[in-house]
Amino acid sequence: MSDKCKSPLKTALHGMDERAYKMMAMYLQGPCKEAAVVVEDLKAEIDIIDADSVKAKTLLEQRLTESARPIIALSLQELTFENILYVKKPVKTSDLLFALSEARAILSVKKKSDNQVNTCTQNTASRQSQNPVTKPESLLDTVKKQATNTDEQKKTSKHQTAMQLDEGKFNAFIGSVPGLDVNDPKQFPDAAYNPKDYFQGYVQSALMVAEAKKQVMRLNSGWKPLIIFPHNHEIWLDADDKQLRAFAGVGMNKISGPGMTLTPEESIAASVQESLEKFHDQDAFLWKLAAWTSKGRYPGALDINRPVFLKHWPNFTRLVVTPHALRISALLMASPRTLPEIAEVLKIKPQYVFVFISSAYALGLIGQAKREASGSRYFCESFYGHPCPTSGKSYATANACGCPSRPASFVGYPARGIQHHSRNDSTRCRKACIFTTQKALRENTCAIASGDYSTPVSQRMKSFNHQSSKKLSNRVC
Amino acid sequence: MSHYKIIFTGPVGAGKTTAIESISDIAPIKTDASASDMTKTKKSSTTVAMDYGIMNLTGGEKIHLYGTPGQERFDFMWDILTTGGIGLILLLDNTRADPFQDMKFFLDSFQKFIAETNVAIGVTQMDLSNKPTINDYHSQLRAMGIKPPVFSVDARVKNDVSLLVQSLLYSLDPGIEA
Repeated sequence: MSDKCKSPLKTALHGMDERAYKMMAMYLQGPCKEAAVVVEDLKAEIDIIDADSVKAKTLLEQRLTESARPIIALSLQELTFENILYVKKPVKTSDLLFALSEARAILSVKKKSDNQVNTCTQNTASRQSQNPVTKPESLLDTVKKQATNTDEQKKTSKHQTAMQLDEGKFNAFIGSVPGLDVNDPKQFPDAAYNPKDYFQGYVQSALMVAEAKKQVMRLNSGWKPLIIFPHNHEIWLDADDKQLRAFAGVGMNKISGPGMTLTPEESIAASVQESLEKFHDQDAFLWKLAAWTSKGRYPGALDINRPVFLKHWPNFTRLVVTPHALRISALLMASPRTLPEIAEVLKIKPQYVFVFISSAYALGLIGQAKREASGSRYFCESFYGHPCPTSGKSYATANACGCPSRPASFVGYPARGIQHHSRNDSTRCRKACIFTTQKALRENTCAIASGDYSTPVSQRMKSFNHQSSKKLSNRVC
Repeated sequence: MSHYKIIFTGPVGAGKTTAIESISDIAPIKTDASASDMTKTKKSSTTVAMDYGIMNLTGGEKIHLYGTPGQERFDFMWDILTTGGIGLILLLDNTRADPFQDMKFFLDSFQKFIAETNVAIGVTQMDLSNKPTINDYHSQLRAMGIKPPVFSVDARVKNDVSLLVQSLLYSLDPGIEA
């Protein structure tokens, strides 16, 4: 965003005589295009100090200890203070504008942080925000630490890295339903479950109510109280994963169901504010709750014979990564598929597809394509937001899906993708990376033959097959 | 033996060097120099040419990791580094004044490369500043007509960087041939 779109920074000038003061005010208004405007000290957002003035040292020290405002110091010599923005004299417009943009950035971070503090548990944060600026740190660091941090960083559950499950750990971690083989196509109709019959359904309803009312709510289940903080998109629960996993699988029958109540939480208990590690990100919580409720089944609201699509990638680094979840996501981002089709195309057990779909569905990331658009005919417009061009990746991708938005024969051959692997239908869904043009092939034949990895993308990716991805996956898990 | 190349880019301080350090199987090669401009308010040194690391896969295959300098004045390196790459990792610092502006800038700058390959986006420093959210990034990207993976990433954590790299690779090929 250009500075023109922003309001001028309110600036107080220090250490300048009347003439220099006026000159600087005009300089900010003219050459600096009103990036800043001079105001009286009390109303200022930042300070500009002439660090070569007689009282400069005192002024700087005073400002650093008494004010958390960003400071820009103008000087002929490089200054030793670390927590100021320095502009060397003679002042160049570009340098001063850069310093002003940095000051704006610092203010923005501070403002953001203050907002967070206001919406978070308040005691600790308010103490933190009163801390004076400490000298050894940069101003930006100090601002970051003052407000953003302490509380947010202590919410360890929110920021811990993802757990990646491989196939071997699936049953132990996710569980299964006795007497049901979800991997048997004949039993697919029985492999559906209704989240409303479980704790998951109540949590989802409670989240919707809290979000609609924008109010902190407590879900009383007769088990452990669960508190929803809609403003921060957080959930607080005094239970560990083992306890939650066990409770997730318990069906809520008609007796226990009515016992559930949702009440506004007027004041947050000190015990909640102190147990920051029990805060969960709402999405991460719901994701794992759905996985544990599913136990390898799929939500009954989905028609297993109609293609589903993924609205966007889940934030996998903060979720439980179920087996093949990344591959399923990549496939669904490319085109809609039915659940059995996903398992078939990726050659994986349906239970891995079902559990992923259950979690993604709980987060609202799964949509079900309408029958008339269930093919890939409208792939480009639906998923890339624009029609296929005459050549290039989108066209090739659509073509790869077997349903370009215009017939391939309408496109001249040099621009049309050449399908290197067209043995069977499964290749139709390869991404555009396996396509290239004849011209590119001719030009790069030698490089391709030599195995040089600096060959065109289409050829490079042709060789980057699933095996490579799998090796990477195995290596890093 | 196959070699692949992935490029890490993003603004100054987003964690490119750290991410490569986290995931590389060799001691990464860095071209850091003392920050002499306003970058020094953020960190003491900055990348001036490139970072380089390697991920070794079984069977002798390698993924070469290249990090670009974050400062725009070194943008002449960007084209050089993307040559031969199979995809782009864009890291964004959520504490910056306008991370969306950064995102648009880098997506525009690497538009041609991304059109030919793919991109995955990692948002760093979310434990310091949790706004904008990952969903906000998706909204912005939707308006731009693309739907890449966007993950919250701690560049110091190997697992985070690894998942981001995996998402990029699976975006390129979900592995239908398996």
